[in-house]
Amino acid sequence: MKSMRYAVIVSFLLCSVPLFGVGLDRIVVDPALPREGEPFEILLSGIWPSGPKPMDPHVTLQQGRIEISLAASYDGFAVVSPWGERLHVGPLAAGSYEIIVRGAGEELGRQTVVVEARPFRVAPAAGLAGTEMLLQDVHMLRDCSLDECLEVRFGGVPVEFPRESGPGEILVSAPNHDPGLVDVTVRNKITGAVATATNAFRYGGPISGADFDRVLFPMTFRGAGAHGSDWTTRIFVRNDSPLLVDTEPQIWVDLHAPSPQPPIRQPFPPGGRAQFHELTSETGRFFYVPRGLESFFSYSSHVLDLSRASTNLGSEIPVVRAGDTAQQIRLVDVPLDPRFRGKLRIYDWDTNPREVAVTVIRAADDERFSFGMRLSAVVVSCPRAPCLQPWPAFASIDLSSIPEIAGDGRADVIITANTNDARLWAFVSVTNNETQQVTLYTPQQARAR
Amino acid sequence: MNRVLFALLVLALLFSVSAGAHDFIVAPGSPLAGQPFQLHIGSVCTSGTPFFTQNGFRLRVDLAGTEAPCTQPRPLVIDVPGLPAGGYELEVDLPKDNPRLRRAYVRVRGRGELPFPIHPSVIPSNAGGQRMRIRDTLPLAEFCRGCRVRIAGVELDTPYDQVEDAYVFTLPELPPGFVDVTLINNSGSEIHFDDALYILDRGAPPDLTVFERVLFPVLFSAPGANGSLWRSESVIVQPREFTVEFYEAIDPALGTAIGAESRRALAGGNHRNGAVLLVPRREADALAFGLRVRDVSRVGEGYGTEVPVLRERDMITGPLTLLDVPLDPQYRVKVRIYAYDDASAGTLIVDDGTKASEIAFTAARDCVACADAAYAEVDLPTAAAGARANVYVRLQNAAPSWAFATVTNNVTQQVTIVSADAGGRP
Repeated sequence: MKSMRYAVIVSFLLCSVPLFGVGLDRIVVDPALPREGEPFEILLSGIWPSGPKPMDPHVTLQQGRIEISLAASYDGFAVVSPWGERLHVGPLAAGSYEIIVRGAGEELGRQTVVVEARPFRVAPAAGLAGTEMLLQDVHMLRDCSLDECLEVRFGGVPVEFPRESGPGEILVSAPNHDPGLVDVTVRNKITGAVATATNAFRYGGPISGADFDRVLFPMTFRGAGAHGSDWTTRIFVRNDSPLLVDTEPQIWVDLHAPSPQPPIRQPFPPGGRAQFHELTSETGRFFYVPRGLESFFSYSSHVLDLSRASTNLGSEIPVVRAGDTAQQIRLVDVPLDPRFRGKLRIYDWDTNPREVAVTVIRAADDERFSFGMRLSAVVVSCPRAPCLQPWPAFASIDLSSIPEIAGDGRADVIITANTNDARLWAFVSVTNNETQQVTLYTPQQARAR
Repeated sequence: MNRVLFALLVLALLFSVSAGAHDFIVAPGSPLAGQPFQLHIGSVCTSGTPFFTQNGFRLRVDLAGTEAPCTQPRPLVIDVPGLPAGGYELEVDLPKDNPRLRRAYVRVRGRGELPFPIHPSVIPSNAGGQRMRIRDTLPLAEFCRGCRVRIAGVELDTPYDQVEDAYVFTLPELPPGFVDVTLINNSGSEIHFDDALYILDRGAPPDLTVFERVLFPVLFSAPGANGSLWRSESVIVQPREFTVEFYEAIDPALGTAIGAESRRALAGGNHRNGAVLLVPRREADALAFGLRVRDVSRVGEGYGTEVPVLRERDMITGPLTLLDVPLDPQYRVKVRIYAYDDASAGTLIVDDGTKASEIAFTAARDCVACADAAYAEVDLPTAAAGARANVYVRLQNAAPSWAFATVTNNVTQQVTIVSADAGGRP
């Protein structure tokens, strides 16, 4: 019996612990706990010992296996090269998948990813007993109602007083249960049919970034600027879910209250609209929403000069998702004009203080000027989980301060990371020195799928 | 041994990106755009007829309505009509006795989607002497020492040039449509690429399995209120080392192709309702765009307002939300709505926090895979000074769509835009 238990433990470890060979250091699945029907990314990176580093990944999907083949070789100059690749996978059916990475004629590493079954959606994915939750796309509701024949259970414990909140939607309160991951089931008491969302709810609350979805607000700044300008960033967030939502950071202020409420951090109420108040940094800010609820949240972000607020409402700043990031960012047709100041801002989604290469190509004569920049990152460590990084890695430069590209004309600005797993975003703001009018140049290129 | 491994790799690549489900089989494994395929579902209890629906990139097979006592499970085969290229989420809703809603992902290959990059993917017909580049990757380098090439069944008698990281072949004149390319190495082994090249007949209607729609939401030059003179300024950057053909030009100045490593700046135009540029799918990702709208009567004040240029994947299938749109009488607000394919009428819901009013609009067009976007615009009524509202856009048919609001100061003519976000509901 003991040896059997030992064998089970060993086989569990072999299945779940990533195994890496030479040249591959990291396999990251993002989101870390993918759900059935949800696309995800695989990020690979490592240091290649010699010869041409891995490139041109091809993914093949077979039953239970995601095979990634890279063109690579150890033959060639003994130059150690960092490398990385970013792959878009799925959505996949529920099940356990072995990610196997091959290159240079051998297996470089493997890791298991489990895609959890989601016959219906469960949100949020973590909380305490009593947490209000929404089950969506419950198709069994078409056949019988909650009153007549449906039963909802969390880890085998029946839910008291579940109620329908919309077509295919059930609002529940998580029953008492010990901490840990549990299945959520909906059962037809008459036919006995059961739909199970495996490992769908974590009692004890969120424990990692995998329990959240995030967006990046690239500008979260308030302060005085040049020429008497008084800049602010107006970011509005709306929660269209029927739930009270614990975001990170918490930001609620009731804009519709008869008398304005003080900006006290609170969970986000259902149907609530709030203004993001953390306007203390130029580096941008991540905003985290519990996983499963992201589709209920919408955003609006504008930067404006309050000293001229009567003349315009500012410039829209995109709210950035992981899918908007890329290893190379191309900002085209950026004016280089002495009457304007042009500021380039670069962000790394993974808060990685990496080096990037910036190339400015003048449109008129195709002349190129290249320079390197290092992004700076403030990585927080937390006394307890989940430890959510508040800021991306960030760098900025005033393009008008570079004599080599000064002048009058237009240019394309290309920002490139040295490994293909980098998730960068960037934009240039071009501001008239007198009128303070801002025009943005954001990436209008293919996004990650 | 290497050759065997390589052949296995090529085979795996050709039949790879397919359904990932344990209990679905998509046959053929990676269907080509426009070609019907079959979906084999394991044993299920139903005696009824499956009901297949397509909604954008969502496919659904509905068996839930087929009441049947489960006497004998049977394998189910569903015929799926030809679909445009792309990744589809497939849901199979089984009857009561099979309670699991099952999902899978089906990748429909664009024509000429290949394991090794061959460029350009689109070549004008009646244009002999064009050059085709096959990028030299490591597995290809191992295979292709002294390669020859057969195109549309005819082996070329001219050898290839090795230019930087590519094998470059000079093409003969080829007939319009798709042609296959086969590489043959010294030992006689072959790699075959189905539909590797598309020979473009400019007189034929566009094939949207080959071309992707890129939407420029406004491209115009026209006088506006208070002496303003509006002009769109756009730019297209093509960084690849070969010429890229467009299907239709959005501006005569652009022509029908853009050369290697070049950029084109366009100003003005006559497309107030937006214009769609058709670019080859295999080259689309490398292209970059810029678009701004500017009041050139006040040119010294600024470079205008950036308007996003939208790829097909930027379009949203489902509800759109424009958050915090001003209704202040200082400004005029116009919501512009764009939709592809079977777009029809819809409703704009303007929710100012105290009441929600509905405004109907029509963006009708009855076609599948239309090259142009259907368009509708709605001028929002003004309210009290400082008033704001959330605007929700609902199309009757869930077509890929997008919307934005332009908020223009009546005096300064400065424009702020509010772009649509996905999700949200009133």
